Amino acid sequence: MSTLIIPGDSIPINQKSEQLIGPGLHIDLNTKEIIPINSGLLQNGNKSIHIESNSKRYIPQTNDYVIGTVTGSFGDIFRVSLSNFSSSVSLSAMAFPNASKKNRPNLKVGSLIYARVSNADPIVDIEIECIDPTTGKDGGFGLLEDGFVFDVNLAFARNLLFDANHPILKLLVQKCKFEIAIGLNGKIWIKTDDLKYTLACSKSIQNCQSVTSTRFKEIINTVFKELGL
Amino acid sequence: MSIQADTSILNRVDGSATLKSGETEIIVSVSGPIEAKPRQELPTTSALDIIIRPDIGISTTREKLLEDKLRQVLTPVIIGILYPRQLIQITIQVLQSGEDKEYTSKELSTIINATYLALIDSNIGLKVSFAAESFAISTDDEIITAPSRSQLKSSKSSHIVSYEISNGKATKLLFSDSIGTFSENQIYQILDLAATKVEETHQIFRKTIQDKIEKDFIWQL
Repeated sequence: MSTLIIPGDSIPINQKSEQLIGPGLHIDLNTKEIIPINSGLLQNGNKSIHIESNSKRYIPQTNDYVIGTVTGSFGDIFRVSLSNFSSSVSLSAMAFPNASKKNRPNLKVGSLIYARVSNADPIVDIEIECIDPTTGKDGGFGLLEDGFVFDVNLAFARNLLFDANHPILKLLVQKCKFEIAIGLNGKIWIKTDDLKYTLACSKSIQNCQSVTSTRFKEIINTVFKELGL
Repeated sequence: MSIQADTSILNRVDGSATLKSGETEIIVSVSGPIEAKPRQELPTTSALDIIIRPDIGISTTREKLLEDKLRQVLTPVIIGILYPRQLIQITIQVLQSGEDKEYTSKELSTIINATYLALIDSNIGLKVSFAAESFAISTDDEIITAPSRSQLKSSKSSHIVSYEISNGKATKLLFSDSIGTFSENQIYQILDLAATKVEETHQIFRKTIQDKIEKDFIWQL
């Protein structure tokens, strides 16, 4: 399947076809060689090549969906924290559907938002927006009211977001109804009708991180049973 | 010599590792890239904050010296331009020194190795892999790899050598430090011997990293 690669290894690049290089690979500025910089599983496709690796610290990339906490507002700009101790990113008050000088979004310090990273150049301030650029509508982004946020590993969050038919979500749907927002910064927001269900869902997802997919059902059943559901 | 390594042992930092090699035991945590204080900020690259805590007592000039030497090893390896104006904080706690305070070779080589594993665990971009090994030359001119506390005490000189490793082979000398009396020929012998020794150590680390990746992606199975 995929092979383990660590920094210093040479990677098989297909010379004939054009490949996009993704996360975990870097072009050395001196030698102009493509080198692996993270350790993980090499995913070598026809059109792209990247290293799939797990981490805890989120580094913003353009077009990532993230969950952030508003930490302050300065004029037309909100400061949003995507992970603890990381530099906060900026969210313009104009980056909302139907926003204008008079129609400001009602965000307070501590509000949770679901947003898309619109500009992730590390040498300037990173920007996020709560608007779908193709339609100009909210596209599911915006203020997250009520609910509960918890942390998971970044690789797990990616898997959960990109796989629409993820077995964990399928199993949870059979247990209760819920609203979920998955941020690639390793934050998951969940909202159910009852606190008990919120706890059960969040605990299920967190516990599923450290077991094989064959045991998902068993884990979810035990968590729900423990809470008497 | 036995090497026991484990990663992802602390859950509130971004990367962590423990390493027990012989008598020396180290625990390392890495947080980063995080927001730097204005005075630490470097405009084009990441700042490195290295803190070494000794096994007994408070840190002294000895630990500051170790911090400085570790910085020499890490600066060329970490790709700082990926994280401009950010801070990478590396905290090292010595659990067992395994040598007397006047020596630093065993502690430093274990610290370098443990930091490598913690950096891999934290997913910070590294140019190349690296590993280190400590040596001593006994009074009858014999080179001892990974000396014990008593061997080190009776030695003429102590050495530490660190190599860059790509594709499992030691390629470039990253760091070397020697204290004591020794001949030019002996240091070349040690450098040659170190190349094979760090390759062996690297094979163990590769296994550790393999285990870590398997644990990280267990939900895919």
